Amino acid sequence: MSERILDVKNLKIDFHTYAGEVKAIRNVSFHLDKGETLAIVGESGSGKSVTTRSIIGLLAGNAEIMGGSIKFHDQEMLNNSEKDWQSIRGNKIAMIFQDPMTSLDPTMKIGQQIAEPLMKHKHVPKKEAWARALEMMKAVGITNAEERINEYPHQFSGGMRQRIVIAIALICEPEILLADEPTTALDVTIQAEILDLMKDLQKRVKTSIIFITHDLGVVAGMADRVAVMYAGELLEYGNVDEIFYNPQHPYTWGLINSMPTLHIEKLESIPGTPPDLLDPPKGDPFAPRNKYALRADVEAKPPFFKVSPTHYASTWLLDPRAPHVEPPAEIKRRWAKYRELQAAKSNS
Amino acid sequence: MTKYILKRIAYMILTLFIVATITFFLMKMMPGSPYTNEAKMTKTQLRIMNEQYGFNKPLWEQYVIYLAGLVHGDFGISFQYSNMPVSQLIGSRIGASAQLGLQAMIFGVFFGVIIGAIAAIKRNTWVDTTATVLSIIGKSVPNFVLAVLLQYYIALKLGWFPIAGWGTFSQTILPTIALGVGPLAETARFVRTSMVDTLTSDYIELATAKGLSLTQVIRKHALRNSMIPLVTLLGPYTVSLMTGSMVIENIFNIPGIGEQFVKSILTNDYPTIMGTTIVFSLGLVIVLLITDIVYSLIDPRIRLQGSDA
Amino acid sequence: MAEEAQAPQAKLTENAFEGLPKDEAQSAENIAGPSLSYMQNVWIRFKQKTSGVVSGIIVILMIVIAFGSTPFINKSTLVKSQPQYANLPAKIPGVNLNGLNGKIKQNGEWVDVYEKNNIPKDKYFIAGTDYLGRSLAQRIVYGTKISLIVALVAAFFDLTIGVIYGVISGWKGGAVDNVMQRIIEIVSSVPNLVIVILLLVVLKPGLKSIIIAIAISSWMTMARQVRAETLSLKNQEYVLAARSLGESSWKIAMKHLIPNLSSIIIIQTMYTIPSAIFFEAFLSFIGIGISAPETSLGVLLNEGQKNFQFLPYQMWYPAVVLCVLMIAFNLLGDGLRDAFDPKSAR
Ligand SMILES: Nc1ncnc2c1ncn2[C@@H]1O[C@H](COP(=O)(O)OP(=O)(O)OP(=O)(O)O)[C@@H](O)[C@H]1O
Ligand SMILES: [Mg+2]
Repeated sequence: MSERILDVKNLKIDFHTYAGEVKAIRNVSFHLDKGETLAIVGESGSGKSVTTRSIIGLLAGNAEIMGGSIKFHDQEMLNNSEKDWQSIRGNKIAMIFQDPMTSLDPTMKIGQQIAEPLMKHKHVPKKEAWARALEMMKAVGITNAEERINEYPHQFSGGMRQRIVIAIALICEPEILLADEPTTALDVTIQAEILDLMKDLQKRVKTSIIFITHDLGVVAGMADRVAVMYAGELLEYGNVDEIFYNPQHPYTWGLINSMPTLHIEKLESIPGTPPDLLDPPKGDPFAPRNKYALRADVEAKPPFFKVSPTHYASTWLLDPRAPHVEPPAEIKRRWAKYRELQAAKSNS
Repeated sequence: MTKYILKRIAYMILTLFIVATITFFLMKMMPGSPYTNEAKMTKTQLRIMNEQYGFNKPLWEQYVIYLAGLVHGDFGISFQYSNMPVSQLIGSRIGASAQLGLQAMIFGVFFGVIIGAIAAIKRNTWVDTTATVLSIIGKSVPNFVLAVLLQYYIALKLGWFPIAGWGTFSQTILPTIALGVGPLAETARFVRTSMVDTLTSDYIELATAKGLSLTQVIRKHALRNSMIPLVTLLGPYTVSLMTGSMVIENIFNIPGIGEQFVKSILTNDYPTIMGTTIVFSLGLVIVLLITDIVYSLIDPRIRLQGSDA
Repeated sequence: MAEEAQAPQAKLTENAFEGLPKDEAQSAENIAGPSLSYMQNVWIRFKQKTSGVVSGIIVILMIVIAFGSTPFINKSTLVKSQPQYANLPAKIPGVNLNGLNGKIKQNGEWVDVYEKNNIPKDKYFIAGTDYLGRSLAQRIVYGTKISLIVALVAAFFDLTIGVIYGVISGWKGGAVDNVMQRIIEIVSSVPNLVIVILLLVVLKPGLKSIIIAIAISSWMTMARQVRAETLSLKNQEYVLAARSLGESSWKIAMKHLIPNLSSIIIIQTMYTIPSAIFFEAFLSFIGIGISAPETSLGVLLNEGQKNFQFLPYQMWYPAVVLCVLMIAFNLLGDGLRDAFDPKSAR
């Protein structure tokens, strides 16, 4: 078993607002191993960003961690002082934000922005830091880097700016890279380039990645494991094949069904809206939108049922007492394929 | 860049020409003759005076003569101080006004930036509330009311500063404060808003995510970005200082052009009114040009139109 | 990570593993409150801020008092001088507070001026009198009315000339926009107040002239802002769609532009008002605005200032009223801005 570098357990986060306590994250647990990529997927507002921000200590001022633990190696991050956080941020854990157009300081030279973390954390003198920044610019594929290092953000395109943001994140060779929808704001063709670049650099720098997206489509090529999040809770997690070909939670079915593939002509989006987090439901939060909902779903929270040693799902449908339901055709097709694969594996 | 500046200067000249023209014809429509003070003039005297000032010539000719004079910096002869050229009158007074204006600007911007920045950093605390209340009051209390109060309570009652006059530095302090409080309040409000915008922006978040401390984030990223737009307020400040000077100089008995302007209005001295108007406009257009140039120098995003990108 | 996430064995009802009927699923969902309209939200946010609400109430009160007083306080009552009552301090029956009981400090002692001047016992002035024995309270109310009239006029021209100029300039674009912007540029390279003063020199000083001067000079900021906003709205999808569907410009302006411009229009109007009030007070203070026998807050300040050393109340009262008026409008403006644009309230 590979080394576990991050362990999040029963994390609970509230936001204090005028309207009341927004219970944004409720009992979320997951872990991250060295060198792997974990994708967190879910609709807008499901709490993906809040979860990642808590790992780097960048929650909004009105947020309060109500319980749980975040362990980075053996360090309990929730006990960190601001000073501790500062020595971790940009150094051991780095973050890439969604919008490259606004992520860079408009009045600071690119070179300085890339060199800054190095000067801060490794106390590298400016000249050397700029030399490293130049290398990094080349590594993220910026041509003519010698000249461009003296330019300002507005002189770069969106894709180029995201490359610069990646360079900033990786210059201290962090152990964990948090990428919060790093390609959502970019053109499709550029998206693919950036994802390739990230995979390439991950191997070179040997970093683990938590990759956030609401688009399952980009997950397949990117992630080793996938966690599905909904309304502040995890509903299902497993290896990428298990989530794509053997999904168990009806919400995951819905996500897969709404993913454009060759086999589905009509894109199906999940009807309804997520629940109000001021007063979250006591059962399965997805129940109100779930065609396959059982009475149990509104009565009590389903536990995580083990599907395989790496695959768990929180749905009463996996309870031995549950009736058999027919999943959507596309899911059945995938299940069949999964069984084939498993059979092939056990034969060989 | 040079091309852009030349274009702007051409526009400036056109603007000043139009201002001069409008002022000239407005003044010609003015009711009452400038000699009403000397009501007992005979017809001959009046004729001689009219000839001396050129009022017997057709209007267009007077206009051309006036414009030609302007090119040489000649604004005509003041009615109020007989035989004193307006340019000389203004020249002898512009120093005091410029000094007062500059001092008030520096005072206002300096303290405004400090108060605004602190309010933004400590936003939604009592510090912020206090700063907000003070800047609303500073913005709302008319400068002439403040001037009278300062003059009475600080100078007369407490005797900390001279009551009026011009010459020593201590005489400049109260007028500087009275004139500068408006820009100070405006700056504090502006810097607070701009700094809050900056502090909640994505690039500040990224700077924090790099591991910089709050002080480093503010010093290296937030301060510069939230101060740059302040340059655009230079024009409005100049307007407000010019306006304020008219009444502040009056109250503190300062020999500046603002006080002169009011005097010339009250005495129907229209060569001086015209001259002062043009000088005010000239000052303003120059400040606006400087604003543009400075802005383009300190903000890398701004590339002046007309220059090669 | 799975084992530890096991929930405690949940208690379920007997028929827990039946499918959930559609309507029950719906009721299980927490129904969020009905969504509010934009204006309702603005109103709720406005109400949350005390300073804005209090200012609004003060402004309304001042308007009611100033205009409601017209039958009792008008030009004819204002000019009447009563030398026997000259320079009396404030006296409010029943109030025994030095400064408000007819006493004034002279050489360090409080002297009852009413007694000293043999004023009849039942005669009193709640804000004292000026050097001609005219009631200061009446004059302040009248002066406030003048300030408010100037404010309303400025607001009116902002809303008409300013908005129309801005919309046309922004909507037409091209050469029209260019010319219109040059005009604004030229007009604004003369300080606003200098324009006003030039006009006042040409016209006869007085309320009418001030109004004309304000009409000519006050709308430019509004025009600029409206133009900028129109320019950005013009290229927004729904407006583009309306245009490509062939709706007339006028209809688009009415249906799409004005509602979207309303917030900046309202906010800018609220900021024009205090600056117009300041202009009037300023001009009257230096002696080229409203002139005797009419009065305004600026005139009162000018008169009060002359005697400030001995009769400070003659300047303090109008000064306080003017400042309250200015502060109220400024705070109201801030309150509305924060209500319309919650981002500005951070
Ligand atoms: N500062 C805050 N104050 C109050 N509520 C907040 C705050 N930040 C986030 N939330 C709430 O927390 C929930 C989760 O938000 P989060 O930003 O993590 O969603 P997300 O999954 O990242 O969505 P997206 O795909 O849109 O980025 C949302 O319901 C949001 O309203
Ligand atoms: Mg997010």
